[in-house]
Amino acid sequence: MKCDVVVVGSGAGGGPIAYELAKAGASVIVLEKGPRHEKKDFVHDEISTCRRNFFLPWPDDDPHVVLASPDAKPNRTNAGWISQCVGGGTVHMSGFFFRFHEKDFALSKHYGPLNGSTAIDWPFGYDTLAPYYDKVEKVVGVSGDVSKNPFEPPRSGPFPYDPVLTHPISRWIDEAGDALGLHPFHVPRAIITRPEGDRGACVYHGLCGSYGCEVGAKSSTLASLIPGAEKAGARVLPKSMVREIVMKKDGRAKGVVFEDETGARHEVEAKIVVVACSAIESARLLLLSGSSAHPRGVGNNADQVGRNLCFSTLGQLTGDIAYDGLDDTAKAELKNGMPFIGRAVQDFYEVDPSGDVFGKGGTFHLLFEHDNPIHAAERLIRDKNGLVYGEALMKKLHAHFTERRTLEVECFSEWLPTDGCRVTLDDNATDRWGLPAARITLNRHPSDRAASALLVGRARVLLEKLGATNIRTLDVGGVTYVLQHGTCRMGSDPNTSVTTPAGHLHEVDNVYVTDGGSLPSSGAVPSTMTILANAFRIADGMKSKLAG
Amino acid sequence: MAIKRRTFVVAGVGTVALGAGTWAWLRERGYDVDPHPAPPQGEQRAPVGPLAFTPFDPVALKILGTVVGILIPGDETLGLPSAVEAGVVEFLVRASALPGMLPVRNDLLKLTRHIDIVAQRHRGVRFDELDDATRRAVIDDVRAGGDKRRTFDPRGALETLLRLSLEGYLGHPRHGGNAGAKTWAALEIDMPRDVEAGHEGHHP
Repeated sequence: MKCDVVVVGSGAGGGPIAYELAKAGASVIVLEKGPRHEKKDFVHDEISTCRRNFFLPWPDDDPHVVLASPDAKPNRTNAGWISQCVGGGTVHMSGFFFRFHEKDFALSKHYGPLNGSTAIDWPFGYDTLAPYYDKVEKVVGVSGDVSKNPFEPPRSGPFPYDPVLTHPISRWIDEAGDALGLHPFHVPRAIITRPEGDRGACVYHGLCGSYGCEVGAKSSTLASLIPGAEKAGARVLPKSMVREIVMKKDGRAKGVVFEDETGARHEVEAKIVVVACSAIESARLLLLSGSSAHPRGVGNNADQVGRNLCFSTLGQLTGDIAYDGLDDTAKAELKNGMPFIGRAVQDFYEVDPSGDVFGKGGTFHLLFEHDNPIHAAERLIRDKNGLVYGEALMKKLHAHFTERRTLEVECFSEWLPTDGCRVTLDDNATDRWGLPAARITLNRHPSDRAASALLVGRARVLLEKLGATNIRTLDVGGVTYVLQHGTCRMGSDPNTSVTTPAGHLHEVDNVYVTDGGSLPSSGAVPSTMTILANAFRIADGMKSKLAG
Repeated sequence: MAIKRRTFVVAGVGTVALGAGTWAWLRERGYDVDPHPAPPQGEQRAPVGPLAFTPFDPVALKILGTVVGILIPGDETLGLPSAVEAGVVEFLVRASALPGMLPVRNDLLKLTRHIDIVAQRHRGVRFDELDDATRRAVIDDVRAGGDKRRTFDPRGALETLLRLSLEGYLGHPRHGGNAGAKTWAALEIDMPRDVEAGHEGHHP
């Protein structure tokens, strides 16, 4: 097979490349490891969709090896995988689509030296990415309301889609926020609120995160970009596992070798190879590939591939609002079936430096506990004495589901890159193709936990103001394995980065990395919107390159 | 050839000590070296070797049924079905037969054997011969972490069983559990229906 551009991965990093290049007239082949799901496959079944291997592989088939710290014992797990199917992680994402703020692009410049961190500033600023954020909102589809967030970075105009409808409790949150001097605002969502082509408008099932959208309202690349790419001539080959990037003697890439579902191997020759299979797996693919000019892996002569791994730091808490004690109106409002609360707070995105907090907090947003009942029940099976079962569990289950609603707050803050946080190849574990698995070693900067604790504390105050009881902190400084960055980060210095500002490897000008791996930092919001925007930006450069 | 009496005694004692040490060593590492309770007359046991995959033998299945009844007993006053009424046992059999669930199935099998051994060791009879209160006490012992082994964590396996049982209790009925979606009804869980099935929005 021959083409102009071969894209490995079809999610947030690969989708925009396929869409833009195919529309520009390039011949494009997209190789996706997972299957292609149709809308009818996206059923409301917690067991098969969220708890088996519909999106994520079994750890025995396709392991990651995670070390919770550099000295920790290796753990074979499926953590760190993002949905394996056409559309990648955008298919099972929740779709909270915030923009990075201006200072996120230049941490060192704005906050000074970050001791203990290997962070570098982005090679460009917010202004460069702003038009591509606009493009994501329009082409991929983002709904929102700009009127209420005084901390929103500059934007060219309103959201192209009206905001999703929200539950009456959002008004309660607005009032509580006002009383505390906060500015709760409407969460932008990658959900369209009017039909668009083959895509339906949101039908408010509420099963967004961990599920696929059966009407195409959620703006996965499967719904939004892949059809357009295919219409323009791109070929998407599901169940195609890329084993290696094939290099030529001149040090440039010749193409890739992939294995189809029958086990047959094929080579795709391409002018440009785009690696976009998640920050962890893109680093792994580069490390698995090599040549005499790249003995440590493609683009890894400076030993930077896989380093500077950063997820998003997560804080999480829940609180209950009981029906008992509310008047009839309030009770009816709380029982309303509208799934989205749609409120976030960015008043603490920037804070005064204190202790390990270097001056940046982050974002928290409120939502109802996920509609998945098994997931909710699992949160009830432990107390200070250990496992809860029998009559005690029956009472807890009944109270949880019938006597109250549980609010959840997710707090997103920066995950500073450090020396020890990285992806390598594991010496022992292999996947079902016989290839070494990714070994993910975590190492945390003290500021991660400090900023997360700060946000959790502020969110707790808001929950208390709302009248929530039984407020429980579930996580501080946690790991959002589905939001991955840094392993092939962009930069101007080949000794501290893997890719150029244009997106290709410093050492190989026809191999690009366009997923979260290319982002130098995690920001303090979910990053999928930024991954898409950056991929659109890189695609523009690629078009010029192919035309030239 | 004559063997000195002393040599004979030392060799005999040494052999017995070596055997006992090996037994203890294997048992400590989770190997199933305890003699299985003899199955009652006529009781069928899962054959060894390849078969149309039945994840649990009847003895294990019986113990699992009893244990999930203890974990999720239901509550008539709250309208909650028991795990057994909800079809959790049928669910466990179907779920454990999936190839990717093999590690879970193995843990559950080990758990049933462990429970039976604990019952015999501490109560003198097999688990299923105990009265309800004593069975619950045995499960409480497992929860408390007694009789743990180096390579098998009974407390963790009990939690695995509880989590899997909750799947059968609260999951979609298509998997064999949550019979008639009665658990959802009792807990007022309004799971949205599939658009494909022609039912948009939440359950009425």
